[in-house]
Amino acid sequence: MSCAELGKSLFDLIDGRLSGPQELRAHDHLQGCAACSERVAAWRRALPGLRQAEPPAPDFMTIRRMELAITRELSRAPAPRLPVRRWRPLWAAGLALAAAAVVLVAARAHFSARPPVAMARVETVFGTVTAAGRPVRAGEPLPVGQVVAVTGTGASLAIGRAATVRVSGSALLTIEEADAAVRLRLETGELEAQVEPRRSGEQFAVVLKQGRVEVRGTRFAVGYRDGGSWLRVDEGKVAAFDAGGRLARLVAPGETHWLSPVTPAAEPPPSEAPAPTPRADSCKELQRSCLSAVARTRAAIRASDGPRAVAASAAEGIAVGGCGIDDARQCLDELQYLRAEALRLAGRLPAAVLAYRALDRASASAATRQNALFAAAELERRLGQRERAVRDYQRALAVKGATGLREEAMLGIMETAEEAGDTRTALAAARQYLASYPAGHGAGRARALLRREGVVSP
Amino acid sequence: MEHDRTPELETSALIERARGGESAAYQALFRLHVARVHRLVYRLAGPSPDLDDLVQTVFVEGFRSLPAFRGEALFSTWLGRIAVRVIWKHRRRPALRLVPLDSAGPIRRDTPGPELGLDARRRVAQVDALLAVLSPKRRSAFVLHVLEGHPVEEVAAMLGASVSAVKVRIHDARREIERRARRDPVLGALFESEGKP
Repeated sequence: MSCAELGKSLFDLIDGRLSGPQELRAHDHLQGCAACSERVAAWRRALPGLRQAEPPAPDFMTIRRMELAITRELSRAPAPRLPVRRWRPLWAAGLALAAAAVVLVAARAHFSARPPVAMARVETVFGTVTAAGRPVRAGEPLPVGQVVAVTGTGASLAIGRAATVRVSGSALLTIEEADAAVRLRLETGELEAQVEPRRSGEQFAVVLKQGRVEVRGTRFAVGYRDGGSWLRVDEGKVAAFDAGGRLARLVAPGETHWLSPVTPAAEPPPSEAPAPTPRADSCKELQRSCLSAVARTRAAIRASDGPRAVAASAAEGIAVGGCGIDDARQCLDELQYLRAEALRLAGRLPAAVLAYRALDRASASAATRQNALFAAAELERRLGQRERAVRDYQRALAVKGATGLREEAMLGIMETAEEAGDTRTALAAARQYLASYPAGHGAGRARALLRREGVVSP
Repeated sequence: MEHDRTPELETSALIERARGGESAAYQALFRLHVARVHRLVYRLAGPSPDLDDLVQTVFVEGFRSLPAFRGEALFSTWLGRIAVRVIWKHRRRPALRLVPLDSAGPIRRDTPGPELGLDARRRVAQVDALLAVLSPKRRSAFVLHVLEGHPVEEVAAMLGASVSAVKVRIHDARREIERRARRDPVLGALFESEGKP
């Protein structure tokens, strides 16, 4: 065998793919050729490193987005030709308007007359929840008027109509009212609340030792620190009252208000969950724990093992309050996203929705927030919660600095609003879509909708 | 380097279900193969903002032509062939029609991110630099045969070239890399030898 021949079969030799006689000839050559021997030895040393040099596998958010794009691509087909209503008598339109008005009045009367239902329930538990000394599991109701103790990493609670409270870490609270008026008393710990806009006569309040906060529909967080209590507003406005019941301030989004008489002026307001700032080494330890949880959860999801993935993503003991390490925060966001994926895989769809929506927070990156809100909207649509889905699509669309799912979010609004009978929102979304993506893959559907409703498409 | 053939058993069943129109089977096929396809596309195309779009396109084309898959090759090999075609097409026409993925997010990365250790990131960057010196044809042959472990005959089928042409491309790629490693001490360190290859 010559040097040139050996060179052409060098990798087959190293990988053991040569036939017996070929391999013998190669070894004969190597014994008498120092240059080829050195070359083979060098490649033997280099190959494992070259082969192991793999890029990181795509994360689950990217995978989800790819799935979505692939599904859209595969389902892309010419929009069906729907009959165009060319003529619509005026009397018919008038009759339709009158009927709609009657339905609206009846619906308003129905909702305003309907007695409120007291409801408080545990949605998800990442530790333990006990009420009146008895453990309460996910899906079980919570008693009103009893002290509820949350330990471990936290829990999500559904309280009253369209209000979700996420307790971070350990906390003690009492649900004093859970019907039209919701009132929680937070004794220790911290919580984050997402409250859909209140209807007439509905209230949502959290009572703290140094005052109380009242909202009409917003996202905010409250908790205790350094002997005082704090309020952080993520969305909407929150009224903060002092201990004497006087309105102290209307707190705007992005602001943090201290209800305690002693405000730690030197410290910046808490950006996500105020907690004593951990030392850098403990932050690194948290990051390591988080990365390990991410790896375990990914492996379980890849194996389609929902329950194992849920368990792996439970993030027991992992909290990043005060960690200034960006990677740690990103890791926790990714873990939270994986948890939502795991819950979805395990068929726990309402809990998955909550987990996705929990990522709609200021500290999460724009892409993460948009991904999570979009995923929540998709699930809500599947669960038949179309109004909520439309709202979450709208939130996903409104995330500043994220453009990846804009087109999909507009289509989501259009289709879901149409399914919900909300023609006005559907038409607005169709117009917005066509203005932004006149040749987009949903353009046919948007034009068809506009034609059906007798609107001239842009 | 041997292929991991374990998922192929699972793949066959999934392909049958997908052909029956079961959408969950498509999703399962995607999830089973996405990491492998992503790795191959990365190695063939290098770090690129279009990486995720390219991976998507491979699956879209693969799923669309699933009825033509007769099981004569492994599904992963078949996807590899599609990946090669997609990347060549991409080189000729860089703009893709698919929904662009968000580039603003910190989690999506075109280059190795912090979840890889520093050493691993450095190694990936070194391999990127090594492969970047190769022409597309040599790169494809080298990646498929040397890094991905496909036999030369399979590589020839994937590239639509003769076996002898593939052997020449692999040989030329090796010589090119050796020359580069001799000149560049950082790349030469990959070979970890006193004397360069």
